[in-house]
Amino acid sequence: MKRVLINPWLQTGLRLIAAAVFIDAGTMKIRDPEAFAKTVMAFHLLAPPFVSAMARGLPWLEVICGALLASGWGKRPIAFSLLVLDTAFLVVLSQAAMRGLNVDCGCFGAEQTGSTIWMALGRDLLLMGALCAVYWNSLRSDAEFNSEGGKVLMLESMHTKA
Amino acid sequence: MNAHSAKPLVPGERLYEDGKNVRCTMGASWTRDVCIFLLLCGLSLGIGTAIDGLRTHAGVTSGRNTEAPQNLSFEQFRDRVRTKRGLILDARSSADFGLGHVPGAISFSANYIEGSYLRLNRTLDANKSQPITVYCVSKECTSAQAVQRELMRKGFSAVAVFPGGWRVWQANKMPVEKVE
Repeated sequence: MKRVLINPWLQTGLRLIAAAVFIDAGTMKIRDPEAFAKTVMAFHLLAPPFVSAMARGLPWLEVICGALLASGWGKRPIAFSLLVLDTAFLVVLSQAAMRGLNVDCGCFGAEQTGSTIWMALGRDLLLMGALCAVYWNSLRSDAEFNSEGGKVLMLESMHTKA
Repeated sequence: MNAHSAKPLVPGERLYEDGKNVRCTMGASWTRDVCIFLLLCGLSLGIGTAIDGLRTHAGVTSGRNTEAPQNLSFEQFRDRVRTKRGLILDARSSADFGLGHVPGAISFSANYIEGSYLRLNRTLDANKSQPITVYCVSKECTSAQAVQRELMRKGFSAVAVFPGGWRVWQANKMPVEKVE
Protein backbone atom coordinates (compact mmCIF):
# COMPACT_ATOMS: atom_id res chain seq x y z
CA MET A 1 0.00 0.00 0.00
CA LYS A 2 2.80 2.37 0.99
CA ARG A 3 4.67 1.55 -2.23
CA VAL A 4 1.56 2.35 -4.26
CA LEU A 5 0.98 5.62 -2.44
CA ILE A 6 4.53 6.88 -2.97
CA ASN A 7 4.39 6.14 -6.70
CA PRO A 8 5.34 9.48 -8.31
CA TRP A 9 2.80 9.06 -11.14
CA LEU A 10 -0.02 8.44 -8.71
CA GLN A 11 1.11 11.37 -6.55
CA THR A 12 1.22 13.71 -9.56
CA GLY A 13 -2.19 12.48 -10.70
CA LEU A 14 -3.80 13.00 -7.29
CA ARG A 15 -2.19 16.43 -6.96
CA LEU A 16 -3.40 17.58 -10.39
CA ILE A 17 -6.93 16.23 -9.88
CA ALA A 18 -7.27 17.94 -6.49
CA ALA A 19 -5.83 21.16 -7.95
CA ALA A 20 -8.24 21.08 -10.91
CA VAL A 21 -11.25 20.58 -8.61
CA PHE A 22 -10.29 23.56 -6.42
CA ILE A 23 -9.46 25.84 -9.37
CA ASP A 24 -12.77 24.96 -11.04
CA ALA A 25 -14.74 25.50 -7.82
CA GLY A 26 -13.00 28.83 -7.15
CA THR A 27 -13.45 30.28 -10.64
CA MET A 28 -17.15 29.36 -10.70
CA LYS A 29 -17.62 31.25 -7.43
CA ILE A 30 -15.56 34.25 -8.57
CA ARG A 31 -17.90 34.70 -11.57
CA ASP A 32 -20.88 35.41 -9.32
CA PRO A 33 -19.83 36.38 -5.77
CA GLU A 34 -23.33 37.61 -4.86
CA ALA A 35 -24.92 34.25 -5.66
CA PHE A 36 -22.18 32.51 -3.64
CA ALA A 37 -22.82 34.86 -0.70
CA LYS A 38 -26.51 33.94 -0.81
CA THR A 39 -25.59 30.24 -0.76
CA VAL A 40 -23.32 30.76 2.28
CA MET A 41 -26.11 32.74 3.97
CA ALA A 42 -28.50 29.81 3.48
CA PHE A 43 -26.36 27.65 5.79
CA HIS A 44 -27.18 30.01 8.70
CA LEU A 45 -23.69 29.72 10.18
CA LEU A 46 -22.13 33.18 9.78
CA ALA A 47 -23.22 36.74 10.48
CA PRO A 48 -23.73 38.91 7.34
CA PRO A 49 -20.41 40.86 7.59
CA PHE A 50 -18.50 37.56 7.77
CA VAL A 51 -20.53 36.12 4.90
CA SER A 52 -19.49 38.92 2.53
CA ALA A 53 -15.83 38.59 3.65
CA MET A 54 -15.99 34.85 3.02
CA ALA A 55 -17.68 35.32 -0.37
CA ARG A 56 -14.84 37.63 -1.40
CA GLY A 57 -11.88 35.65 -0.04
CA LEU A 58 -12.73 31.94 -0.23
CA PRO A 59 -12.94 31.62 -4.05
CA TRP A 60 -9.52 33.29 -4.44
CA LEU A 61 -8.05 31.08 -1.73
CA GLU A 62 -9.26 28.00 -3.64
CA VAL A 63 -7.85 29.26 -6.93
CA ILE A 64 -4.47 30.31 -5.47
CA CYS A 65 -4.03 27.07 -3.51
CA GLY A 66 -5.16 25.00 -6.50
CA ALA A 67 -2.69 26.76 -8.82
CA LEU A 68 0.17 26.37 -6.32
CA LEU A 69 -0.65 22.70 -5.77
CA ALA A 70 -0.67 22.10 -9.53
CA SER A 71 2.66 23.90 -9.89
CA GLY A 72 4.18 21.69 -7.21
CA TRP A 73 5.53 24.65 -5.25
CA GLY A 74 5.32 24.22 -1.46
CA LYS A 75 3.37 20.99 -1.70
CA ARG A 76 3.24 20.41 2.05
CA PRO A 77 1.83 23.74 3.26
CA ILE A 78 -0.50 23.99 0.27
CA ALA A 79 -1.83 20.46 0.78
CA PHE A 80 -2.25 21.35 4.47
CA SER A 81 -4.20 24.52 3.57
CA LEU A 82 -6.49 22.60 1.22
CA LEU A 83 -6.99 19.91 3.87
CA VAL A 84 -8.11 22.60 6.33
CA LEU A 85 -10.52 23.99 3.71
CA ASP A 86 -11.86 20.55 2.86
CA THR A 87 -12.37 19.72 6.54
CA ALA A 88 -14.29 22.99 6.99
CA PHE A 89 -16.49 22.12 3.98
CA LEU A 90 -17.14 18.66 5.42
CA VAL A 91 -18.15 20.12 8.81
CA VAL A 92 -20.48 22.69 7.21
CA LEU A 93 -22.10 20.14 4.89
CA SER A 94 -22.46 17.56 7.67
CA GLN A 95 -24.21 19.98 10.01
CA ALA A 96 -26.52 21.05 7.16
CA ALA A 97 -27.33 17.40 6.41
CA MET A 98 -27.95 16.67 10.10
CA ARG A 99 -30.19 19.72 10.49
CA GLY A 100 -32.10 18.66 7.40
CA LEU A 101 -31.48 21.98 5.62
CA ASN A 102 -32.72 21.95 2.06
CA VAL A 103 -29.89 24.03 0.61
CA ASP A 104 -27.78 23.91 -2.49
CA CYS A 105 -24.17 22.91 -1.80
CA GLY A 106 -22.80 25.88 -3.77
CA CYS A 107 -19.45 24.10 -4.03
CA PHE A 108 -19.04 25.06 -7.69
CA GLY A 109 -20.90 28.37 -7.56
CA ALA A 110 -24.58 29.03 -8.14
CA GLU A 111 -24.58 27.82 -11.74
CA GLN A 112 -24.00 24.21 -10.72
CA THR A 113 -27.18 22.75 -9.31
CA GLY A 114 -28.60 19.28 -8.95
CA SER A 115 -26.03 17.76 -6.60
CA THR A 116 -27.37 16.89 -3.18
CA ILE A 117 -25.55 17.52 0.08
CA TRP A 118 -24.81 13.80 0.35
CA MET A 119 -23.16 13.78 -3.07
CA ALA A 120 -21.12 16.83 -2.08
CA LEU A 121 -20.09 15.06 1.14
CA GLY A 122 -18.95 12.01 -0.83
CA ARG A 123 -16.97 14.19 -3.23
CA ASP A 124 -15.33 16.04 -0.33
CA LEU A 125 -14.36 12.75 1.31
CA LEU A 126 -12.70 11.54 -1.91
CA LEU A 127 -10.91 14.87 -2.23
CA MET A 128 -9.78 14.60 1.37
CA GLY A 129 -8.34 11.14 0.67
CA ALA A 130 -6.33 12.50 -2.27
CA LEU A 131 -5.09 15.49 -0.25
CA CYS A 132 -4.13 13.26 2.70
CA ALA A 133 -2.06 11.10 0.34
CA VAL A 134 -0.30 14.17 -1.12
CA TYR A 135 0.29 15.66 2.34
CA TRP A 136 1.59 12.39 3.78
CA ASN A 137 3.97 11.94 0.82
CA SER A 138 5.30 15.50 1.15
CA LEU A 139 5.86 14.93 4.89
CA ARG A 140 7.74 11.75 4.09
CA SER A 141 9.86 13.48 1.42
CA ASP A 142 10.71 16.31 3.84
CA ALA A 143 11.79 13.80 6.48
CA GLU A 144 14.01 11.90 4.02
CA PHE A 145 15.55 15.14 2.85
CA ASN A 146 16.28 16.14 6.44
CA SER A 147 17.83 12.77 7.29
CA GLU A 148 20.21 12.96 4.32
CA GLY A 149 20.71 16.69 4.08
CA GLY A 150 23.48 18.77 5.57
CA LYS A 151 21.37 20.13 8.38
CA VAL A 152 20.92 16.84 10.17
CA LEU A 153 24.47 15.59 9.64
CA MET A 154 25.86 18.86 10.97
CA LEU A 155 23.70 18.66 14.04
CA GLU A 156 24.65 15.03 14.48
CA SER A 157 28.41 15.81 14.29
CA MET A 158 27.99 18.67 16.76
CA HIS A 159 26.20 16.24 18.97
CA THR A 160 28.96 13.65 18.72
CA LYS A 161 31.60 16.23 19.61
CA ALA A 162 29.63 17.24 22.68
CA MET B 1 16.83 5.49 20.14
CA ASN B 2 19.21 6.56 22.89
CA ALA B 3 19.04 9.33 25.47
CA HIS B 4 21.03 12.02 23.64
CA SER B 5 18.88 11.66 20.56
CA ALA B 6 15.90 13.66 21.86
CA LYS B 7 17.37 17.01 20.80
CA PRO B 8 14.85 18.81 18.58
CA LEU B 9 16.02 19.86 15.10
CA VAL B 10 13.16 22.05 14.00
CA PRO B 11 9.75 22.26 15.68
CA GLY B 12 8.17 18.82 15.59
CA GLU B 13 11.26 16.95 14.39
CA ARG B 14 13.57 14.80 16.45
CA LEU B 15 16.93 13.23 15.70
CA TYR B 16 17.49 9.62 16.65
CA GLU B 17 19.82 6.76 15.85
CA ASP B 18 18.58 3.69 14.10
CA GLY B 19 21.52 1.24 14.18
CA LYS B 20 24.31 3.08 12.39
CA ASN B 21 22.08 5.52 10.53
CA VAL B 22 21.04 8.92 11.71
CA ARG B 23 17.40 9.48 10.89
CA CYS B 24 14.79 12.06 11.41
CA THR B 25 11.20 11.42 12.49
CA MET B 26 8.30 12.42 10.29
CA GLY B 27 7.22 15.15 12.67
CA ALA B 28 5.75 18.15 10.90
CA SER B 29 6.56 21.79 11.30
CA TRP B 30 2.93 22.66 11.98
CA THR B 31 3.66 26.26 12.74
CA ARG B 32 5.05 26.86 9.26
CA ASP B 33 2.07 25.19 7.57
CA VAL B 34 -0.42 27.13 9.68
CA CYS B 35 1.42 30.42 9.05
CA ILE B 36 1.41 29.84 5.29
CA PHE B 37 -2.31 28.97 5.43
CA LEU B 38 -3.09 32.19 7.33
CA LEU B 39 -0.96 34.20 4.90
CA LEU B 40 -2.84 32.73 1.96
CA CYS B 41 -6.18 33.52 3.66
CA GLY B 42 -5.14 37.16 4.10
CA LEU B 43 -3.84 37.38 0.54
CA SER B 44 -7.07 35.90 -0.88
CA LEU B 45 -9.25 38.25 1.16
CA GLY B 46 -7.14 41.19 -0.03
CA ILE B 47 -7.39 40.16 -3.68
CA GLY B 48 -11.13 39.46 -3.36
CA THR B 49 -11.81 42.83 -1.72
CA ALA B 50 -9.71 44.69 -4.30
CA ILE B 51 -11.46 42.94 -7.22
CA ASP B 52 -14.86 43.63 -5.63
CA GLY B 53 -13.91 47.29 -5.24
CA LEU B 54 -12.83 47.48 -8.89
CA ARG B 55 -16.07 45.84 -9.98
CA THR B 56 -18.09 48.34 -7.96
CA HIS B 57 -16.06 51.21 -9.34
CA ALA B 58 -16.41 50.09 -12.93
CA GLY B 59 -20.02 48.96 -12.51
CA VAL B 60 -19.23 45.59 -13.99
CA THR B 61 -22.34 43.74 -12.96
CA SER B 62 -24.93 42.03 -15.03
CA GLY B 63 -28.18 43.94 -15.10
CA ARG B 64 -26.45 47.13 -14.10
CA ASN B 65 -28.79 50.11 -14.09
CA THR B 66 -27.56 53.28 -15.72
CA GLU B 67 -30.61 55.44 -15.12
CA ALA B 68 -30.11 58.75 -13.34
CA PRO B 69 -30.75 58.62 -9.59
CA GLN B 70 -34.05 60.08 -8.48
CA ASN B 71 -34.83 62.31 -5.50
CA LEU B 72 -38.26 62.63 -3.89
CA SER B 73 -39.78 65.74 -2.34
CA PHE B 74 -41.38 65.51 1.09
CA GLU B 75 -44.89 65.35 -0.45
CA GLN B 76 -43.93 62.58 -2.85
CA PHE B 77 -42.32 60.62 -0.04
CA ARG B 78 -45.33 61.13 2.25
CA ASP B 79 -47.64 59.83 -0.51
CA ARG B 80 -45.51 56.74 -0.97
CA VAL B 81 -45.63 56.03 2.76
CA ARG B 82 -49.39 56.62 2.99
CA THR B 83 -50.23 54.47 -0.04
CA LYS B 84 -47.59 51.88 0.96
CA ARG B 85 -46.19 52.03 -2.54
CA GLY B 86 -43.02 49.99 -2.87
CA LEU B 87 -40.38 49.51 -0.18
CA ILE B 88 -39.10 52.17 2.21
CA LEU B 89 -35.53 51.53 3.40
CA ASP B 90 -34.04 53.21 6.46
CA ALA B 91 -30.27 53.62 5.87
CA ARG B 92 -29.53 54.82 9.44
CA SER B 93 -27.99 52.52 12.05
CA SER B 94 -30.20 49.77 13.44
CA ALA B 95 -30.07 51.48 16.87
CA ASP B 96 -31.54 54.69 15.42
CA PHE B 97 -34.09 52.62 13.54
CA GLY B 98 -35.15 50.99 16.81
CA LEU B 99 -35.74 54.38 18.46
CA GLY B 100 -38.12 55.49 15.74
CA HIS B 101 -38.64 55.25 11.99
CA VAL B 102 -41.04 56.02 9.17
CA PRO B 103 -44.07 53.66 9.36
CA GLY B 104 -43.54 50.56 7.24
CA ALA B 105 -39.82 51.23 6.71
CA ILE B 106 -37.31 48.37 6.79
CA SER B 107 -33.89 48.77 8.44
CA PHE B 108 -31.15 48.70 5.80
CA SER B 109 -28.09 49.94 7.63
CA ALA B 110 -25.58 51.56 5.31
CA ASN B 111 -22.79 50.39 7.66
CA TYR B 112 -23.26 46.86 6.32
CA ILE B 113 -24.79 47.30 2.88
CA GLU B 114 -23.84 43.79 1.75
CA GLY B 115 -25.08 42.26 5.01
CA SER B 116 -28.35 44.20 4.89
CA TYR B 117 -28.83 43.16 1.27
CA LEU B 118 -28.21 39.51 2.06
CA ARG B 119 -30.70 39.68 4.93
CA LEU B 120 -33.39 41.16 2.69
CA ASN B 121 -32.51 39.63 -0.67
CA ARG B 122 -35.70 37.57 -0.89
CA THR B 123 -37.91 40.62 -0.35
CA LEU B 124 -35.83 42.78 -2.66
CA ASP B 125 -35.12 40.30 -5.45
CA ALA B 126 -38.81 39.34 -5.74
CA ASN B 127 -39.30 42.34 -8.01
CA LYS B 128 -36.31 44.38 -9.13
CA SER B 129 -38.50 47.05 -10.70
CA GLN B 130 -40.58 47.78 -7.59
CA PRO B 131 -40.28 51.37 -6.33
CA ILE B 132 -37.76 51.63 -3.49
CA THR B 133 -37.24 54.76 -1.41
CA VAL B 134 -34.20 55.21 0.81
CA TYR B 135 -33.77 57.79 3.53
CA CYS B 136 -31.22 58.52 6.24
CA VAL B 137 -30.86 61.26 8.87
CA SER B 138 -30.88 64.47 6.85
CA LYS B 139 -29.71 66.23 3.69
CA GLU B 140 -26.13 66.15 4.98
CA CYS B 141 -25.97 62.39 5.37
CA THR B 142 -24.78 60.38 2.37
CA SER B 143 -25.81 56.87 3.51
CA ALA B 144 -29.06 56.93 1.52
CA GLN B 145 -27.15 57.78 -1.66
CA ALA B 146 -24.65 54.98 -0.95
CA VAL B 147 -27.50 52.47 -0.57
CA GLN B 148 -29.18 53.85 -3.70
CA ARG B 149 -25.96 53.48 -5.73
CA GLU B 150 -25.40 49.94 -4.52
CA LEU B 151 -28.97 48.83 -5.25
CA MET B 152 -28.86 50.39 -8.72
CA ARG B 153 -25.60 48.59 -9.32
CA LYS B 154 -27.35 45.36 -8.41
CA GLY B 155 -29.94 46.00 -11.11
CA PHE B 156 -32.82 47.66 -9.23
CA SER B 157 -34.42 50.12 -11.61
CA ALA B 158 -36.56 52.39 -9.43
CA VAL B 159 -34.50 53.42 -6.40
CA ALA B 160 -35.21 56.93 -5.15
CA VAL B 161 -33.83 58.91 -2.22
CA PHE B 162 -35.76 61.16 0.13
CA PRO B 163 -32.99 63.68 0.84
CA GLY B 164 -34.78 65.42 3.73
CA GLY B 165 -34.64 62.19 5.66
CA TRP B 166 -35.67 61.55 9.24
CA ARG B 167 -35.29 65.20 10.35
CA VAL B 168 -37.76 66.55 7.77
CA TRP B 169 -40.17 63.70 8.54
CA GLN B 170 -40.10 64.56 12.25
CA ALA B 171 -40.20 68.34 11.66
CA ASN B 172 -43.49 67.84 9.80
CA LYS B 173 -44.86 65.94 12.81
CA MET B 174 -45.52 62.80 10.79
CA PRO B 175 -46.39 59.46 12.45
CA VAL B 176 -43.47 57.47 13.86
CA GLU B 177 -43.15 53.73 14.36
CA LYS B 178 -40.91 52.21 17.03
CA VAL B 179 -39.52 48.73 17.49
CA GLU B 180 -41.19 47.11 20.50
